[in-house]
Amino acid sequence: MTSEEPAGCVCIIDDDAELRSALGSLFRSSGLDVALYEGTEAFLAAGVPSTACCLVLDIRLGGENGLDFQERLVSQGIGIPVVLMTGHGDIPMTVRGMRAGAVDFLPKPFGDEQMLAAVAAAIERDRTNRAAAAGTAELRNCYQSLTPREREVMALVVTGLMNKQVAGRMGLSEITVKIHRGNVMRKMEAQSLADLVRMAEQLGVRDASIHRFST
Amino acid sequence: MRGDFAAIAPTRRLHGLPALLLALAILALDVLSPLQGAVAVLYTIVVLVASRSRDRALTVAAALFGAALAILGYVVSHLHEPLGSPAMRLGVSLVAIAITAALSLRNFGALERQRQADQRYRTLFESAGFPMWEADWSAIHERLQQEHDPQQLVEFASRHAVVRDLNDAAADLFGVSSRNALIGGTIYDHRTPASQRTLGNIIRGLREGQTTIREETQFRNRGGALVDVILRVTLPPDHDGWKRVLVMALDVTQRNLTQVRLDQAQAELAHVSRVNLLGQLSASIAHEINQPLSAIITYANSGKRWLSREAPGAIEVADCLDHIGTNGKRAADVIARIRDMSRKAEPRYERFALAPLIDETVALLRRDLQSHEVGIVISAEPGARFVQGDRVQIQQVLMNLMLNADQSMAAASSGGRELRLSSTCHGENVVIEIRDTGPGIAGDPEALFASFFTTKAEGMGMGLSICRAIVERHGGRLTAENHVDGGAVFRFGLPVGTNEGDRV
Repeated sequence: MTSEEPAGCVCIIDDDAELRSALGSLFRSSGLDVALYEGTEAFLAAGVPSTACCLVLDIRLGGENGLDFQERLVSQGIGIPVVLMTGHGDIPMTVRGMRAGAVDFLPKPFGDEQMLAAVAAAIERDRTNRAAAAGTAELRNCYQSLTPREREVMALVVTGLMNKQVAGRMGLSEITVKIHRGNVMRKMEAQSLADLVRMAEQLGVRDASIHRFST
Repeated sequence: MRGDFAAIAPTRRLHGLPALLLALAILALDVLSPLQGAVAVLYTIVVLVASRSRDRALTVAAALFGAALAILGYVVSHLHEPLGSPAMRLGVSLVAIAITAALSLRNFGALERQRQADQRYRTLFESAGFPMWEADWSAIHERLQQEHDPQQLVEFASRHAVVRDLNDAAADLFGVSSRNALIGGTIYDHRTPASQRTLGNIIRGLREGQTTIREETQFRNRGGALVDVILRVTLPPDHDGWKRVLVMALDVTQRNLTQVRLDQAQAELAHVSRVNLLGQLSASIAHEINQPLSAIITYANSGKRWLSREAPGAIEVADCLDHIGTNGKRAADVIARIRDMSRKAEPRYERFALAPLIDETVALLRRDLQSHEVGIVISAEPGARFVQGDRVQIQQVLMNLMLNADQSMAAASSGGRELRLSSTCHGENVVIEIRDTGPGIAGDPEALFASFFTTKAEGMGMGLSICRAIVERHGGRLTAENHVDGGAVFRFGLPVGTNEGDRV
């Protein structure tokens, strides 16, 4: 790993202070930021970092089972990618952790490459998740700026109907439809009809029951 | 009767004849001499001579004979005279003879009783089932006045403690064929360093005015084998400058041998049980070692990465190396703890601090306790800091009791699991109490200590029985009961650790 790698933050929950700081040193040497927590409560209190991050979680924690905590995060909608580690993991444990969405499951003692690769993958996953979430939010803002009429036009246009078919369905003139359509493209910052279609898919506003040739 | 007579006759003749001759001589003196004294009083001598036979009949006969002769003498010399001073003298003589006879007879009774007492003592001495001998230590007693170096004195004493008499059991003890082999001699050939030490102690004791001394020691018998004995040396009131010292010995060789074997068996059993305990903790122990090893590996990798960066982080590398050192030590400490527990060693009774032992034990059990969500509360009185005993065995007891508490609480419903460990000072003892908040003991708590009693599926049922044996070897007792507020309490006492650090 070199410093050109996109930075990220690794949160570590391990009740063993030495192992915690050892992991901290390893990640810092790879240019990652670290946040160390002795227990789950301390982590929850601090909150998930705002940058791309992941959680390295020990399964055997003093007061709590790491797997239980992982499931709790999922149920609370805290979508931080998790790398699990344990002193003596067995297959049922591994299965349970992976089902709950763990990126990797590492037995102690682990190799540095292994751990860094797992953490990099986890951070990458978080970055993708974050980008997707961010994109959807932006799109939703644009969609909010449309008038009800414009939304109606957009819903029909993205099904592949021609302007006059849209005009016919809405009882408007083709000119009016063209104006609405132009507004939609501008407000949604769509470069092409195909772009608009993808946005509609993402927003879930495409009416799948309408087809161009089934009128 | 004939036999009796035959036996007695020579004695009678021996004492009777001189008495008779003496009586006749006195008669002659009385009758023939012109002396006007109370010659008849001399008949008392006849009675005394006869009484030397210790024969009642002969003494009485002598008295009567003497009296008869006295009367005869009076008749011969003074019959025709009116009653006066001669008659008075006769009366006095007769009274003297009677008194002498009476005193002699009474003396017989005393002598007889003395003889019977001696006989009884003799019988006791001979037939006592244990070795006993009477010694003459008068030479030692004399030497005491001039010799002050204890070493020299003991050497002298062992050569000059003459055996006056000994019984058959004592001859057996020393392995000699007959009592005569030792009578008049000493037991110098049977000495051992221990017996020399003991002799020194005994002499010191007697010198300080003690009259009964008990000492455990060792002799070497004629065959060369060592015999362990408990000696009881008694100085009778009439010892007359240590001329008579009575020594009784109890042969405890077999008992000591059995005790040694028992101790060995117990130590081995304790060791097996310890190893078994460690087996139960293997997951925890593996974790305890794996944890620092993981840290070491991670720090080593991390250090390498810091070095290979464009701007090597020297401070970070130093930090990594520091941590590698501390974690290495941490792993080594865990191993040292286990090594002590698994080592098969003779028990060593010494003074040690209780708190570090409790901490170490808790550290070995920490994972198990944590995973069962058991909280630990440790309290110790200031006076209960040091105890006397074998550290490893006491740790075994603590670990066994704590593990039992942990397992019983884990088996019960969750919530409020707590293990309380307290040590308090009660006089010469430190009492250690281990209390849990589990379901308590069902049935008689004493049953827990029976061998092969277990409530666990894979338990051997030896743990508590061994724990109790260990505590008993330390002079204490391990007990169990239910606490009024629920849960079980195990309690045991150990001697307070004194500065001498000697055996219990």
